[in-house]
Amino acid sequence: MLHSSVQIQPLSRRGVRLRRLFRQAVAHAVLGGGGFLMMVPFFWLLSSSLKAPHEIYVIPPQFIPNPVRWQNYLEVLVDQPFLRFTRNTLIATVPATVGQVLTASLAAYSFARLRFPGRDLVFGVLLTTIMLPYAVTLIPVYVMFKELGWIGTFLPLIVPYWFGGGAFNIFLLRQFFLTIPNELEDAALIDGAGYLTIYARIITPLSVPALTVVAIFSFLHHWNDFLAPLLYLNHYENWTLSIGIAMLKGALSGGRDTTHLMMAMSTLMILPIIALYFAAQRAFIQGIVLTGLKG
Amino acid sequence: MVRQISRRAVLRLLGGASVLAALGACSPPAPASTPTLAQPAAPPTPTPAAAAPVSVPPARIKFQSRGGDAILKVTQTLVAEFKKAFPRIEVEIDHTTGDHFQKVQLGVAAGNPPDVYFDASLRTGGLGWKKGIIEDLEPYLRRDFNPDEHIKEMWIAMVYDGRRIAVPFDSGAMALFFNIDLLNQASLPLPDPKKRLTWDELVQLATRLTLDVNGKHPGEPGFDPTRIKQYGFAPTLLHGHEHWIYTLGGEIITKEGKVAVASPEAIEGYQKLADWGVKHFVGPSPEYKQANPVGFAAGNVAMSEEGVWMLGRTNDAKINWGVAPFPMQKIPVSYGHYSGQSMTRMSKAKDAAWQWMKWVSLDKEGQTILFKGGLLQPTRKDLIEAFINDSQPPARQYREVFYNELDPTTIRWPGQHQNSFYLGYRQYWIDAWNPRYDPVLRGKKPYREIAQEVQEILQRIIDTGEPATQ
Amino acid sequence: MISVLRVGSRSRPGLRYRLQEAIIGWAFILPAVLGLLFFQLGPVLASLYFSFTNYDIVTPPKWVGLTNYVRLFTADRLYIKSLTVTAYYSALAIPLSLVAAYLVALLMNQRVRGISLYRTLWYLPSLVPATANGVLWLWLLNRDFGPVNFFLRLAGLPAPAWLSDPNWTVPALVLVHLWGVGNAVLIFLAGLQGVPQHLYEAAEVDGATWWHRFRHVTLPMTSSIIFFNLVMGIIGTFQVFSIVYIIFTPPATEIGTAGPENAALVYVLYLYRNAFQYFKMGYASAMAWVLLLIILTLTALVFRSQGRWVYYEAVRR
Repeated sequence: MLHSSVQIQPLSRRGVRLRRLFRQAVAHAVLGGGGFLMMVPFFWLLSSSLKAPHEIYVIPPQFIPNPVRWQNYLEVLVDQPFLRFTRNTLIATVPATVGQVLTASLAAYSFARLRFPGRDLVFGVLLTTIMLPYAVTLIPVYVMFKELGWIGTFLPLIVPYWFGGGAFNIFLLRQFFLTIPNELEDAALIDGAGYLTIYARIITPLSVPALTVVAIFSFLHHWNDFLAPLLYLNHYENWTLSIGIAMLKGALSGGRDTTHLMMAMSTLMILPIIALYFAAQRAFIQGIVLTGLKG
Repeated sequence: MVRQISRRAVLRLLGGASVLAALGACSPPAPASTPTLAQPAAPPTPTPAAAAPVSVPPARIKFQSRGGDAILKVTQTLVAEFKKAFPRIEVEIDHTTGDHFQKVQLGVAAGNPPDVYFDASLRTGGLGWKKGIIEDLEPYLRRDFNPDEHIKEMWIAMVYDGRRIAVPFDSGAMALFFNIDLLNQASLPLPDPKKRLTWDELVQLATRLTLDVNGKHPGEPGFDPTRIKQYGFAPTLLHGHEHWIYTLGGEIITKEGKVAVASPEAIEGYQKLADWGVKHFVGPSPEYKQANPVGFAAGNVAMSEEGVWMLGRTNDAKINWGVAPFPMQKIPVSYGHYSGQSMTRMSKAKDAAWQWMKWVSLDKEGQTILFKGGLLQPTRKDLIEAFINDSQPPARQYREVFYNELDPTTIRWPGQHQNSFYLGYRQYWIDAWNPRYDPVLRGKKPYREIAQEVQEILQRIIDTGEPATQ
Repeated sequence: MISVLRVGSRSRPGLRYRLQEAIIGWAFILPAVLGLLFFQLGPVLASLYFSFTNYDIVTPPKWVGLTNYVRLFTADRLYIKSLTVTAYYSALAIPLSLVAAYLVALLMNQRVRGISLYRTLWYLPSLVPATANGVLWLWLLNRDFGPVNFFLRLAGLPAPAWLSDPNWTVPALVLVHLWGVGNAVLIFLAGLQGVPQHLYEAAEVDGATWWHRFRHVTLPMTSSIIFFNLVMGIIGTFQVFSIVYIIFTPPATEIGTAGPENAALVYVLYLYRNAFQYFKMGYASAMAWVLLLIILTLTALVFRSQGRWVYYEAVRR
């Protein structure tokens, strides 16, 4: 793997430290500067959430709201059934995420590490299904759910994800599983371990960053999903946060402009994800170190 | 360092997930009980229907409403009050805030569409009727509709191929809104609600009302059209914009069914429409309007052609405002439209559905709720006084303008001669029109350069009934 | 570039083991296969059927054979336009977002103080719900007063009319897409975290420079993830829809729902119009299947090229 023709350079300790400082400075500059830029949409969201609706679009635009309308958040929490929306969103999200992570990773492991007839064909078909825009399968899917009697319930939002939950996650995890060396598995097989054990005890712990990514993506996708709740959760008692936000879109409101409330609810909707993401960082901080392996 | 996921943790996770899944799956379809309402302005309790309700067998209908939160609340009030008048008809609300028409179509494909839905009649009414989704309301109207109770001009955008296919649920007239404070600040006379401004008068007013960030007016040295802080006049570019052509004596769709957007009057009119921004610099550029759908309510447009549906939002923004009729050049022209509820042909409870539609959209109790909810300018004559005398701004003499503008002698709309709004093809029309008119709006081309091509394409649309493919 | 596919090192097991492996293999993918059969294949095949019909949703589909497909390519200039718009968008979006995401992930992988904070900052834009995002970007990209142009002018750069100049509309969409790069960064980061440390250590011992370590350790060890993001990038950008729909939907109707002069008429938007606004579900289905074939061909090409640049630690063929 390594070219053995690389020269061995004598590296002074000071040179190493300077180089590392330089790298750190560059990293801070780019990450900080870029991070600030990336945050601009979010700043705008936050700032709009604290204004009166007609103040949002004044010219020239004001970044800092003046006065700061904290009562927007109060209005969202009190006037809007925010807690109910959140509960419904959790019902739609958590079971689906768990199901998706479990079944997708199991399938991905099989596609990556096991041999069986038809493996590549099935994987190919799976991948092909996400190449078709959803608009043209919407009607047959809707009719199917109607025949099953699932319209008006949470089932269309949850059940499909306990059955593999889509090619994206399976594909992603397959790629990760393919990067794990054979040796560990071989050793376990020789020791007489079954494939399920290998999957649970060896592959899974080694893939914690990848599984975390899939869990985050899955959670985010279901948390923010708009179309499925719109089509299948007919009664307002079952609505999720994404519908709640759309209901507050200023232009649709007939009598009142509620853009500021929409921004406030959007901000509230992001907070749990930020918390989740922050907490999940722990899975990223430590790299995976393979011990006991001879390179 | 290798992490282990204990079996117990996995089981706990699975258990928790299953409980949540069971919770979700087992949540029953919510009962059609009266929900609690959080309404800022409670509508007046309507007096029980004077006439005994028509004896209708018990039925269950599904009403699909659309739009935002305010509309949902009004719909909930309507259902609650309707139940008192018709206790044996259950109304289930299916409120769709995204693409509502898509959901109607899905229901049609699956065989269970809503019985009644609040349509964006001017856009999807025509095609919904032509393709067979919407039921013809003529038989019901001939039996139950009393034209003497209502204003004459109310079926605009709800009539296609000579058939009325919806009953009013929201909207009303359009007019010229003006910001009294901004006019006073500029020491300009307020427009007279009984007079129509001429184009020249409007240009002069608007120029004095347009300010860039340095306080300069258009035409003054140093005026920067890209740094405008306050616009003088925003014409309507979508609803009712045809008045700019009609007022010159032009036509959009002639009596013979010919598209006339390349006639001399149309060329002049469409160019004038674009000139407000391009030449006079008093009208917001399209990119400004894009991000700022409530320009008048944001207080940075002094005069604007708006619909009565903006009333609530303008008041929310605490604007001190007045209303005048649309400007004219040769012929006085006005505009308004109503969006309505339509009945689906596949409905299995049409009589009950009609009872609902009639009570909500044509009877006094329903129209009062729609009016108080800020949705509807009442079409009932016995509610005109209530609308004009309403305590909210604008003042009475301004509110009258909304009814004056619905005068059948001045109101004009494409397809009027055929009693068919845009002949039913407005969706195809605007998809072909917008991308072509856009460069005119931005000042990249004069309208006359594209007029002939546009006319041919639009003519083909209404002749073939097919959308444009170029 | 490294191009070694390491074959499993153990000897071919006996028949009993192979059978057991096959059974377990199928058992593990069974939920996914059932899901495929019930929730996806049926609707997918239905849409294939629709593509050979005229289907207005209200009346049953009527068979017309290849008419839809022929019309697409001979009588529909808007369709060709949608193809070029989408190709232009993808040609910009895929390489830019791949490279940007990878570079950012490399930076995020440093042991820098406050890295958790940075990671959250960069990921935040991907979290904004779509509805709010559309409204936000309309204002952010406003030519005269939007913050984006504000910063551009500050830097002395040209500040175009992003969403109302047809030449800048697709770049504007690419810009919005780049703001959502946090997802790809996350995936790359997970991949970078999975590169075994001992390889870096061995390289350092051999005296390799930073560039050498990158080129001969980092890049090959993350190539399977690059491969993933490339394939998903193709699949995703060709189907771009939501952001265009949300940004250009009324009340921005003066511009038209497909941007100035149809500059944002992306493939799936035109498909959606035909499906749900023009009552031409059959025609739209044909469009969908042509798109599938395009994406499939490109993806197959990328898959075929795997052997040349993607490194897998373990592939059992």
